[in-house]
Amino acid sequence: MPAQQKPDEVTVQGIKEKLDNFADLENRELTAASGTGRLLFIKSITDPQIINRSIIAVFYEMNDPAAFAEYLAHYPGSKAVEDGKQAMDLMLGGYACVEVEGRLIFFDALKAETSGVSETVTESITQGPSDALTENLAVNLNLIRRRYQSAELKMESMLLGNISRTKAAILYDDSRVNHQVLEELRQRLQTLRIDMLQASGELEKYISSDKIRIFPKTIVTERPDRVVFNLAEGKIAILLDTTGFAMILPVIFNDFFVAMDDKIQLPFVGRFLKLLRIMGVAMTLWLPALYVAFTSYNPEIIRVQIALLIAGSRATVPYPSFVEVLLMLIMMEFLTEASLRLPRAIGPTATTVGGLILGQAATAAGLVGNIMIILVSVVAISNFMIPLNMMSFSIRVLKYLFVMAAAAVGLVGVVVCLVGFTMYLCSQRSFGQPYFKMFVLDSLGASDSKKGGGS
Amino acid sequence: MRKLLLYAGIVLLCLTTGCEYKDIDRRIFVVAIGIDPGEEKAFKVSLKLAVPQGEVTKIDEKMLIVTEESDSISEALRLMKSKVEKELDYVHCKSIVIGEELAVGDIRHILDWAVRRRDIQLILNFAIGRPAGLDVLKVKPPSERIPSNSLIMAMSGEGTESPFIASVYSYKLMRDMYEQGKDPILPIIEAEGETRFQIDKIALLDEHKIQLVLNPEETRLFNLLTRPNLKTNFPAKVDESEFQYYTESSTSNYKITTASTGAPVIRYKIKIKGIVEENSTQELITHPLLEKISEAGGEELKQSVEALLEKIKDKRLDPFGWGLRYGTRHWNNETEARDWEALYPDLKFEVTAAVRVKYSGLIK
Amino acid sequence: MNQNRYLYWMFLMNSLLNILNFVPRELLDARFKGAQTSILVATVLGTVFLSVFTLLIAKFPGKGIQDILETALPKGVIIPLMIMFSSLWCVAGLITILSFVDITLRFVSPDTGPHLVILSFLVLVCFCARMDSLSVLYGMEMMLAIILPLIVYAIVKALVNPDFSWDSVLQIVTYSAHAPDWKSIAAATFSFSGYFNMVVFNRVLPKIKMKHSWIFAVNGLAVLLLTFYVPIGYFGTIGVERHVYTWFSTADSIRINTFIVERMLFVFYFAYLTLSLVSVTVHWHVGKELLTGLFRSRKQAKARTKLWRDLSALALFSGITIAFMGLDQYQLNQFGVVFLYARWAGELFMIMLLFYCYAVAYRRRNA
Repeated sequence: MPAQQKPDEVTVQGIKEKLDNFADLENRELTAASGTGRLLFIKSITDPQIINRSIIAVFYEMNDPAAFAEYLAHYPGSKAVEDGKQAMDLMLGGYACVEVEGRLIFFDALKAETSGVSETVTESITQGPSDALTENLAVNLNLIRRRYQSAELKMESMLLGNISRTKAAILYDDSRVNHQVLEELRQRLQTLRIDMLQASGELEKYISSDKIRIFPKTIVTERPDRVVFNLAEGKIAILLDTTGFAMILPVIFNDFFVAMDDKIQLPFVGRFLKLLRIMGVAMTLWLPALYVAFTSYNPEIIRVQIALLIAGSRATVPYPSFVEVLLMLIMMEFLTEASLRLPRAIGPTATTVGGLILGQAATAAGLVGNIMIILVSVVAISNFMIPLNMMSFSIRVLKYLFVMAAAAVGLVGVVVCLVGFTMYLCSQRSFGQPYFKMFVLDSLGASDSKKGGGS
Repeated sequence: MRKLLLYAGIVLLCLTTGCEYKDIDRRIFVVAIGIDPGEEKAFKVSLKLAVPQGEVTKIDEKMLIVTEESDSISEALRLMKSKVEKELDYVHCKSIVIGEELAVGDIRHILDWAVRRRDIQLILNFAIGRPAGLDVLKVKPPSERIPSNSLIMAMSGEGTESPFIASVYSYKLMRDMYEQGKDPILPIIEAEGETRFQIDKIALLDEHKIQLVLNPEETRLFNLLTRPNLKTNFPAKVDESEFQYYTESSTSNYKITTASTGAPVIRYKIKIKGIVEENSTQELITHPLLEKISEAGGEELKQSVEALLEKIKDKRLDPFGWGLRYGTRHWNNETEARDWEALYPDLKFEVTAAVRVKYSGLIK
Repeated sequence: MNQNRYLYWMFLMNSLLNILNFVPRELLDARFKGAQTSILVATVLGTVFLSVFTLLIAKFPGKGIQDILETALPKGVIIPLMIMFSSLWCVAGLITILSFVDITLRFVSPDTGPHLVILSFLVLVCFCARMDSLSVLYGMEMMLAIILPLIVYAIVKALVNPDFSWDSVLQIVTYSAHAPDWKSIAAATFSFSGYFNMVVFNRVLPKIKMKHSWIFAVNGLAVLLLTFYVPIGYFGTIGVERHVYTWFSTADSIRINTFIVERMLFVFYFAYLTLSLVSVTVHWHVGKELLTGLFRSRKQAKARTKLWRDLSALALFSGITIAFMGLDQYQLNQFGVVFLYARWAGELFMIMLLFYCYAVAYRRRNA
């Protein structure tokens, strides 16, 4: 049925065009003996029950399009619209669009999905929203669409994995996304040949082209607000059914140091927190290595008072410093891993026994120096200041590289490692985008992505 | 293949480590070196070694002094290696104390050695020990927790800020020793028994040996002229009452004026802002009296500074670098040094001491 | 941010690096003769070289030097030219590495053998120089951002030291009325030759323009004057000639009161080790690109062949470096001085070549 009688071009056709590429857009024709109607809604944010009961069922019961139109128009929560923009807002806000008798009526069918949404576990923050993504793709889309009400947010869906047939949704803001990256992603996903796909992190492994990956090139997050925040920055999110995590790409190194409360805090507090995190990374990477360098190779660097303190605390230790450091670091890793697996009720006990008693006893027995214990604690704590787990795990492993370098050539090794580390980061590309550089803002410009190695 | 390479790399890494370094607990740090003339050989070198403490909470400083005689310093150090079980490490050596007997001879040899050696810092305090370097090393104040720390603290100004101490780092000693138109100085550390030392004198050297020793009074004045904001007190006598004022800030500078005829004049300008610290009578301090104190203090200071400068001039020494300053103001580089030599005996001094005592302290 | 900043970073890196070894030594040797006028002359000459070179190469946006030369010169001429220039860059990196190995053994790690130290440097540099040009630039920028504050801190700390002898500096100033000499000029212009790396980086920086050349002049002059005067303030007009690694000894004379590291030497060492490694990376990257450019074929080479080409070029450089390790202090110095001259001549030659190519291109366009 043509809709030319509407004065301001709000037509089903127009809406459909705007919502192009919406895989979750539902477009139904209602046909009864007395006439036809058209129903248009976005599946992920509307409630099928409401649509069934209040629209479809009523339409067939009445069997009279004119009366049905009257019925809809007077139903509380239904709206007639003035212009295309409003129509779009309503569509994205969970309204169903019904076209009947040449009239276009918007019917409130928002699905308020609250039941299955639980609190964030791995990325807790002090203030701000605490819902996490769930295992249900539709719920996740609902969580995101509710936060990102824009017609530019496009969604493509596909099935990944020959056996698992995991539903995947690619979300992006059409006006902000870098289309080059999008194209590359599509290509990589299309060429994907796998049987099973169960987690977002797994997907990263498959779509990245590098053999050796030291740093995560995608963010895996459970926070819908982080997804939305990144979508607005022109990034692409991949949601998988059956996992509570979304994957965001392309990312730069800095993205891993943004916690979602930074936006909530006052600007200078946010900056301070970010600085703290970077200091935390520096500490956790360098402290053990510097300890080895200072005690074994270059005691001249620290001032004499401290040198004597370290020498004193190590007086009874029977092995070289890097053995001492490795011993304690590995002990600490055991502790972290163990307390992760333990039931929540026993967790604190493990930390107390491991951290306090073991540390105390080790120094008392003279197996490790006092200063070593302080150092290991600092390293352990500062490691977990990184808001995103993927990065914090990478850093956790990398510090051993620094320790080895320090054990081999002392301070020179630490500096060489630092330069290598930075240069390596700079040589990385996340889907063709520079991973680590100064003044990141202009990195989204096209000129820089011309040349690039890696993924 | 790749894995094999990795394993090979790790094995190589493990092989290279562990054979070339000495852990901090296998080294023993030399914190001070004393050099005296030996009884038979040229040098008697003593090392003060810091023995690290396992228990930090226990206040029990342990130190060790080893001595060896030899004709060269390096030889003495090598010989001492067999006297201790750990590797001697000089990187934390913070002072070299030269015995007075040696310093009246030539110290250039020692300085050359100290600057040439790669593991000895350039920010190391040189000093003259009285009666001998070894005696100074042996001093162990009861308040000291880290060996030789008291010496380090006193000389670096981190602890006490005594107006009588002038610290001389080795780079400075070397600079002044070779500089044309400036003579080096060295502080004198006197050992008083086993537990105390006193640093309140300065030795003025010509190119290489002690020429003049300043007494504590003069040392303080010397420091006043060479560094800003010296924290000390000076006397002022008004009528019959003795006042002492504390210097809150002090500056001093000088100009050399050489008129075409007549003798060259060095004009010292000293500016001090002070606060009354001590009053020998019960007199109330009024504003006119404050002004009188300032005036009297300035006059007294002027007298003593002039006396000091004359004394230095009589020895033909130049610890302030007048000759260098003369050079900076003259572009005739070939002849300026000779000019200065000729002018030196006729030097006149004019000292203006602008003392302003601004406060009477908390009571009038 | 525009791409011109990379030109500035390249310049700044070289300019700061000059402190390392030969330049202050050459200048200080001539302190009673013509060092100061030479610095002024070098500032003018250096800025002119830099501006002319950048103006010329900006006429060929997105092209490396080989592409540019191929437009005007026959292939038979280009090959020896490329080999010559690439050896120049190889030597530039080599001298920095050798000096730094020397410094490391002298000041920091006498226990570690020279071979282990040089090996760790070479492994790192070869690893980094193999990266693509843009990554090298990003890395350079990042590292400069990390170490610049440290260097500025060290210099400020050096100048505010009350024991700094300003009289000695002034005394040297009174010796400035001498004619400049070639040796000092050649040494001082090294401070400006960072732009020279553009021969390769021009490929990835098509939008470079020569703007604000006075910044380069002022910056270069300031760095040179600091290079020259600060050691004099610490070691006096005469004592200064006795130090081998003048600036490292200067840094050793500065004390930090309130930090766990007491000696400025190590802060300075950390900053300069980083700077040197980055600079060698940049130099060898350029050298490698020039050398492997000769084997470029029409069609895109496979990644594996490219890898082997890169690695063999860098292995060649490393081999040469190890071969030169036997030089002693004075021979190395001699070698450095020869390099300072050769580099300067190379710059002049390159500018003339570019000018010729530009003239040919200009004539072709107008013909």
